[in-house]
Amino acid sequence: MAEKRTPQQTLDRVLAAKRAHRHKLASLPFEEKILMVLRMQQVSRRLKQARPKR
Amino acid sequence: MPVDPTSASIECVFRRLNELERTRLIGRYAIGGAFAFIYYAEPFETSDLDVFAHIPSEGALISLAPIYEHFRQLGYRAEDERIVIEGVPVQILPATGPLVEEAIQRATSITVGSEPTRIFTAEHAVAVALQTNRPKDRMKILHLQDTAVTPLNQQELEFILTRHGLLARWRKFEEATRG
Repeated sequence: MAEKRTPQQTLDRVLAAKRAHRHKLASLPFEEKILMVLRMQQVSRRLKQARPKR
Repeated sequence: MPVDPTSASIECVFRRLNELERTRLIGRYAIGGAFAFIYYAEPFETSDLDVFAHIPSEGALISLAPIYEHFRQLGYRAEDERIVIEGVPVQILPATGPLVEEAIQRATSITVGSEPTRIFTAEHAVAVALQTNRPKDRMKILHLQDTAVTPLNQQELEFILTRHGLLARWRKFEEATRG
């Protein structure tokens, strides 16, 4: 069963996990980072195309 | 139809850039702009890979046409001011000014797959962004400070900023962003 925590403790844990995740992403090899950026570009393009025209 | 880039195609992008340098269509080059920040920090979305290079010329005017033609012959298309190499939009930017010249000269050698290339040092990437000084450039600096694996070398950064008359702007930036 999950341990009970105060809201502040919970928030601190979430922020610590986010920091660790960002650090992990920052440590990836450059080519993996480039591929990740290219995937972000593709998602952006698809979202732009899917956006209803006004 | 957009190409889905892979690790092999990323490596090929740098092979193409090295060919460009070898055939003297460009002089020494280095990766700068957003991808220099991404090299040192958490990846974020950006539109293209900025390649800063010395462009050979006989006078004061330069032309990127021979570079575009070279890539066109290899089957790559130009899109606005960019060339799409193996699905990666690449922008060739001429070295303008002493700071960018220095950033190219002192760039760090890295390898992508098995292909060698060069990238601005984190300190030069920050100095160039500070010189350009658009809101998105300042955001990139903050992002680097927040997520870089290795902290900036403050002493080296201040040497660069002093040499290029940017120290007062840096102090202002630090003051405005101190949390």
